[in-house]
Amino acid sequence: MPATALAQRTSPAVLRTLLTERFPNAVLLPDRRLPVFPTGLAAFDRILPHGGLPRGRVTVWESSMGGGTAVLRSAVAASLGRGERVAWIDGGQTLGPRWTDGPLIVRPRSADLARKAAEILLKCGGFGLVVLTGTPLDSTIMLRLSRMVHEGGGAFVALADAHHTAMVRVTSHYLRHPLQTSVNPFGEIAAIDRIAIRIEARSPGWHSHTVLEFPVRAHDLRLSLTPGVADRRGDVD
Amino acid sequence: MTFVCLLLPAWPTDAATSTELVARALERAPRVRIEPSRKVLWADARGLDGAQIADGLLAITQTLELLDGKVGVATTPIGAESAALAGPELITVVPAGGDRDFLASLEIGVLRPPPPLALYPLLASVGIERCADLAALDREAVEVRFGSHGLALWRLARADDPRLLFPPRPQELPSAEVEWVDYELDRQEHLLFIIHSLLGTVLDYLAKERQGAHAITLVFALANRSVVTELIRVSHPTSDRRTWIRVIRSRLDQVTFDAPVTRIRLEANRVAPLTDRQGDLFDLGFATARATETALAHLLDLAPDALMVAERSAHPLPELRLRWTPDPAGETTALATKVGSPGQTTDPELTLQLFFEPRTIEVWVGERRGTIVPHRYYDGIRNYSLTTSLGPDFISGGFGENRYHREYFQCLRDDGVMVLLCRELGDRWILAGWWD
Repeated sequence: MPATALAQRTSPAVLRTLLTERFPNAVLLPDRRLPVFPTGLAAFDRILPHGGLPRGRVTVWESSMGGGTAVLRSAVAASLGRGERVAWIDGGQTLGPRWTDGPLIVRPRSADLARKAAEILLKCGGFGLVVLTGTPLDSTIMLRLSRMVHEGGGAFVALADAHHTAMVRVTSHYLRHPLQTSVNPFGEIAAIDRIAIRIEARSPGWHSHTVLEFPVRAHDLRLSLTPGVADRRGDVD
Repeated sequence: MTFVCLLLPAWPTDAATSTELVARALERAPRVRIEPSRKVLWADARGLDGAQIADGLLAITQTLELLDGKVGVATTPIGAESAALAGPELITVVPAGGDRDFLASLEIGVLRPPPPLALYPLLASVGIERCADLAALDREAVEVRFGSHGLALWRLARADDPRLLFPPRPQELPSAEVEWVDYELDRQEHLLFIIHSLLGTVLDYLAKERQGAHAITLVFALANRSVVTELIRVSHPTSDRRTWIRVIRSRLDQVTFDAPVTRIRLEANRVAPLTDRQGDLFDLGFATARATETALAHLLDLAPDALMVAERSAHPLPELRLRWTPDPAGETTALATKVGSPGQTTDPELTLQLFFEPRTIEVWVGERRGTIVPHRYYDGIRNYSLTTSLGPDFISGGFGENRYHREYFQCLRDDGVMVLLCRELGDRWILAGWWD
């Protein structure tokens, strides 16, 4: 069989058609209708299998330094705007000075407490979204959390570095280009204005990706006479 | 509330008769109060037949040969006292709600405490003789013309008497106790079994009253005759036995008894009514508010300092601009049970995230127009090349030991992550945070 013909017969669309003909009563996992939690970022929602974070299921964001915080903060704001409660469990205690009020902030002293807090908040069903960051998770804990999420019916996102079994797995990384910058009078880069992030979403029977550009909120440059231009007066030595 | 006022112009001067009077009055009414200076005895007739109590009090005065006694019954103290003082009969009952009408026809001098003598000419000069004349005036007019004494009199003339003759009774808090002599217990499971039973007695009583316990005291009597007392609190008043047994279990995990336990007493220390919030059609979270409150209370019981509140400042150092303070009182609980305001959105942006503890790193530097800039760093795990280094931003300040002098660099790593590096005095480099 020629290679092109084989490729055509094994393409996802053809395989999907064949499966539908062979098993007419079966429903593909991405087609199964699940209640979702829209994040408010249309481009991100589009790459998720059901158009949003699945409710009652676990979503794992497998990059702790890949722009996940920015996306989830936006989702938190959208959720609060819809009138839903949100809890943010800051297990790594990394929230920075630009944090905006709104969600319930839990900063437990230990990873055990963070996991316990996640279980309690997920199980109660009062929170539309629970975000857990900076907490090591293993398969046993993930199983417990998935049960709690299922019971509570909210959306749950764990921001972690390791790979875990989850309904939706999201990975992201920064792109070095395109990079929008501002230059100073010397022609050097004075500020990084925007950074692009590639985000991939995987689910059984689903794989999609997108590239989002986010503005960078640099901390205020002290004593700078011109906005965006760093102050270089004085010296440590 | 109904007050019965017994006025005795011939108030007994000997202690024995006074005591006898009160003792017999207490047989008729649950609470009595005497004011010998005003020659009156008050009886609390709330929920009882005031006229019957008045009959009984009058009969007592006749038995004790106390002459000229008169009784007034009314729903206000001033009404009852005036009825006893100026009523036409030995027993004058003012109908409920008719106190002001009853006072209207009486002279101002009947009111107790009587007005100062200096006030009489002022009242007479404007033609005020009876309570109705005074009660018909405006408050401001009375206050301007007759001062505070006139205002107090005006209130009494309107049957507005704020006196608290019988304060609310202190509530009896439930308790339960069990003691055994045939054996001694030294295992936590056995103790918890008994405590569970005691909790059932106490909490069921509170639940019937629509109340929840805020604090419970456990008293353990030990075989060596010592006593161990544990005061246990929960963040929200509750009559839920599971919540209490969970909190008690976690507390008992930290307690060591010197000897076996022979008696346990459990008493509710503080109780509060269990209130239900008013529903709101537009509150999406109302249906889950109770469950959320319970979950947060559970969380606070586990870790009182887990819920945090952000406090912002304009500190020059970015790491110190946001401080997190615990919220053990659960103020954020109330916030968390309120849903957000519609239309609240935030455009996504990369913001500075801080490491819990800044990490000391090894940095290779270069020079740019006379200043040092980092080119590469090693964080103990791997090397990162820096493609762009913005800075330095000099930040210095503080006094004495708190003095700081730092150079901050915003750098872009070769993997695209933007990090915040900091150079301190002594050429110590720190990885403070990253943008995410």
